[in-house]
Amino acid sequence: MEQKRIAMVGNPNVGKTALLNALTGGKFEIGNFPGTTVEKKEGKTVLNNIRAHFIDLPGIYSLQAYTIDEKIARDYLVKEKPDIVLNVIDASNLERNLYLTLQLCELRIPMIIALNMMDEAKKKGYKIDSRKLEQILGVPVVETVAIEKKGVEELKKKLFHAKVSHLRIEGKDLIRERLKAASRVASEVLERKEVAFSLDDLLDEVFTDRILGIPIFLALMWMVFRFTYDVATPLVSLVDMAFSILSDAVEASGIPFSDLIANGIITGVGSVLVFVPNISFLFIALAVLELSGYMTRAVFVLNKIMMRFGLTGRAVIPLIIGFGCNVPAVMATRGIEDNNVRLATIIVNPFMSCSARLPIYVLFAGAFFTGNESLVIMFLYLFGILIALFSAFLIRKTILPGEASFIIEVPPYRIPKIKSIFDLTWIRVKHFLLKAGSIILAMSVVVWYITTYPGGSIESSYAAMLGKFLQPVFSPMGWKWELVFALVTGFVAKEVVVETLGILLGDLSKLSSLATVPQALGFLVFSLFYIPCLATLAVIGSETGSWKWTAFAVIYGFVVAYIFSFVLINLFGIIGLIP
Amino acid sequence: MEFIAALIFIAASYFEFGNSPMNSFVLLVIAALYLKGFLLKKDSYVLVGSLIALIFAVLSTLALLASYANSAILGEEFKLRFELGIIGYIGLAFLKGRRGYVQSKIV
Repeated sequence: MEQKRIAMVGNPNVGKTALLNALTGGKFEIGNFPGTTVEKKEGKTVLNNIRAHFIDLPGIYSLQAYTIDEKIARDYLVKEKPDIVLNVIDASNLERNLYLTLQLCELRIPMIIALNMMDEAKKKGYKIDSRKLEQILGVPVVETVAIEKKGVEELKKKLFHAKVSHLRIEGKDLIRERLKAASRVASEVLERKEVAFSLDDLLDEVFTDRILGIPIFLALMWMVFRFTYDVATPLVSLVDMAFSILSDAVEASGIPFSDLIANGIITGVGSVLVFVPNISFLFIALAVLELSGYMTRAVFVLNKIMMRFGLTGRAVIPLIIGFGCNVPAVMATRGIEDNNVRLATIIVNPFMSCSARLPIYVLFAGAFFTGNESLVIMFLYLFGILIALFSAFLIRKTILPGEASFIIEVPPYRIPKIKSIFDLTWIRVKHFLLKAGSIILAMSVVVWYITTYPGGSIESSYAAMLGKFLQPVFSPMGWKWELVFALVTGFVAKEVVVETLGILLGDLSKLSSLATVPQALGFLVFSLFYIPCLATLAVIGSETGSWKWTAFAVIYGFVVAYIFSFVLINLFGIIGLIP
Repeated sequence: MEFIAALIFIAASYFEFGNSPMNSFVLLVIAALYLKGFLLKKDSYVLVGSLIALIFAVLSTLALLASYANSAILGEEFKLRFELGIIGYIGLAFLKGRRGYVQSKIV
């Protein structure tokens, strides 16, 4: 069967991934903010008896390759020469998108245009003559609304009728000529109806209000954490009961390795999986905020604060992605043009509370802060953001100086579709579950072994030896060796902190015997900041290309964690705010 | 009406403070939105205030139901902790009243 490689190219946040999903039936992560795709994504399907191999390239504004994701896209187009270029255009931002289209025309690769987000264009009062656009550019143009799969069938039919455009831009100053040409083409095909004041304008007026914008953001964040903790609680109890029953049954069965399976694997993995409902609920809430378009407004509201901390608008997206997992978040910094800003964003990114840390928060908040669980979890998230911004400020003022500019593209508001929320949540939860089935499962065996041998009891185990050996380092915090040992294993993956405590204690309800309330708060803050997990460190190493920056991330994180947990424990201990 | 709603939410915020300062803060934000909508005669603030009020009311209801379900699962006695966030359902009346206005803004 004949095979064709189709490169999907377009500006950020024009719906390329949504179109890829619609064309191939795939379930790739889509967002409603620029920079969701930072690596090539590939999807395959058979269309008209031709094997279509789609390559979804990161969103770019031009082929000038200022940023790493632009370089990835340009290199693919120039060096790998796809059979067809599928240029995805945001119809509601035609003129700006046409700049890239004109550059693509010059590549002499057969091209077809998907005029996407036609619904948004209509909302803005735009009427686009797509036939005229087709004539001017000399390539087929299909109107689509990818998230609703509108126009997708027509696109499939016309895909292999892509044509090489004969349009060429000439002149001494090519950038200026292209800008002029984009403006000319747009004015020829675009008819603007005056829209008095759209719903988007109304919502923006309030969500980005100078005085109320930040209180609205804090109110919404509070609701997110209440949803994450309070509403998910019965599901957590159910999963917890299921694992307890399973563990007891295996232990009582007397099958070979029953101790390892019951007290190692089931207790260990179970102590992490029990928090899947919390994580799922957090991701549902974040998906709603992202897909609705609110998250970017929140960034806009925080603009003034961000500028003071020396970061740019594009740095905000990786920080938001960090709430899910720091690994893709560090990769998302590829969209940042300024290398100093990019490095600063990478270093502070692990301070954004990833989902792996949520089980630690939920566990300790439930054990030590009854009645204030959501408040403690929200405090940790906000404290993480605050210290990340403060660290960025410090780094930008000292070792990575320079000016920062703030440019961020604000996407339209959309009512999130249940399916989109589910898909986005599932992609993220699946990542967590896969980790539970691999790293966390393997670590349960390791932790069980070192907590059982050589003595046969925990107190005489390797774990106790290691925990007690390192305990003096943390003596100012007064933590017991079990907590110290959990932090050591948590370096592999943060969820392993909970897993280790589960195996060490057997029953996590005994947790309150390990620390006082200020010590528990200090432990939470330490878990928030200390050394990024192994996977994050690996990606920091590969993205910075420097072991020095990787070492800096480790040392800086540890120092920040140590100082803040020490100060909090002693401060709250002295003034007696927390008993 | 917006002014009355603002007063109701301010009162609710005051009474909720002892129970949960953050819930009280959310109610105060809603009150501020109604108040600004009233003072500036801008429907956008009333619209967003009502939307947040409604979401908060649904969340309070879900939290109440979850608390009941959790007690049932664990076999514990259910202690009803009524939250004033539930009054956010009055936002529904404002949203319903402005349905035509919202539709006129959608092209």
